[in-house]
Amino acid sequence: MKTARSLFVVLGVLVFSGCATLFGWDIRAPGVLSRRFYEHVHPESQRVGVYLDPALHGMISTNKGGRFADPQTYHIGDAYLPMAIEAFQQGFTEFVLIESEPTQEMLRQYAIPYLVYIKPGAFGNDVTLKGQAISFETEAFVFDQDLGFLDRFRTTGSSDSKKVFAKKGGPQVNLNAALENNIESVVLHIQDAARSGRWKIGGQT
Amino acid sequence: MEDRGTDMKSANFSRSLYRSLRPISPLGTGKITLSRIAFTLFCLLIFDFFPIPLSAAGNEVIPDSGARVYVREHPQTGKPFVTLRAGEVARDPFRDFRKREIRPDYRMLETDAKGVPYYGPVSDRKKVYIFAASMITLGAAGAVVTAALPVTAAAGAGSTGTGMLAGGAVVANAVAADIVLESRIKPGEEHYVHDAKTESASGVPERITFREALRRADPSQ
Repeated sequence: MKTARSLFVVLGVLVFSGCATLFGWDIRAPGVLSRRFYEHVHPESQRVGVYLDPALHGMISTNKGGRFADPQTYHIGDAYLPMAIEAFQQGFTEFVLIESEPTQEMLRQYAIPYLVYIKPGAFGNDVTLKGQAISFETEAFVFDQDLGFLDRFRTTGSSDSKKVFAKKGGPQVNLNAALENNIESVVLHIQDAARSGRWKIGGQT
Repeated sequence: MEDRGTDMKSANFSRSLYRSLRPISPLGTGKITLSRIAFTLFCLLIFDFFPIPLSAAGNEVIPDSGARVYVREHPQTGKPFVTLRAGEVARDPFRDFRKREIRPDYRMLETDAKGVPYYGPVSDRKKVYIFAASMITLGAAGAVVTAALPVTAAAGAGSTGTGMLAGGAVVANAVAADIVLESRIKPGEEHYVHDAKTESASGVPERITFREALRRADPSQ
């Protein structure tokens, strides 16, 4: 009777705890940019304020990317936040992270010409027998000092690789690459717009 | 002659101001009495509770946003950066940070991967602190809080900076054209596609909140 009871308890724990917790992959990207980023992105002489959506903090995805794939938990927010900050630090000479909801007064007081707001989008995961393709989508809004809308763009960073789960650190690095590609595109887009004067009056610098 | 007269006037004024202030100075050459000490303490208390604003309120164009300047340290790189926060005490944005990692080499995802030497960024603390100080100058009533996880000491500073504020308050508005940009960065080499759409806004700037601005930019919000 006692044995049956303990067996029932063990089975109950297994059922209610979720496979991802016990058997799945807990994937945490290194959360640091690669050397490649520093080769591609050079600092732009511009003051930029960045407000990251609070939903990014601690954002996770349990998208396992296939019916027969092992359960996976991706810690996206923990990696994306430090990477985004590092990317903007490298991309702009005067980078200001805005931690609370921005106001017109705040932007005017500190003479921040452009406010970039980044919010998370879909996280894609496609696990096949050959490999894994990961993608992360974000949407960025750009406002001027008076919170006037300037620009809006959607960016998807992805990384597609073979035999990811067979390599030590494979899924972690694959996730890191997808996040980095996303951030790199965002920074390059803003740099290009600021450099070309696309956001200024009549498109003049 | 006129100039000399002005000088004399100012000299006389300074002398009279000094004379008028001297008797109430407890740290002067006079005898330090209990009443003088009490008076000094009273003055300190009064100025502490009702501080005199350092910024010139008369020609202030932009109201104080209530935001404060912080300098934080990036947990991975150790490179400091400037943050702004209004309202309550700043929380740690990297509270879930575990440990520093080595920069990943994406060539490990390829079959013929080989080690690559480190050419990462070099920390330049001095630069960011100068930038923070300039931000405070713009802020006119801000204070630097060195936040090296957790947030610790604060050192206040303030000045007017109205000219820069007035200059910075120039608004870029009334952009007429809509721009659609679609670009692919190095197809085949990079594992991503970059599509961007730029929709320019027009109109006179008005007082709106961030949520309202976001709702206008994206009606689905």
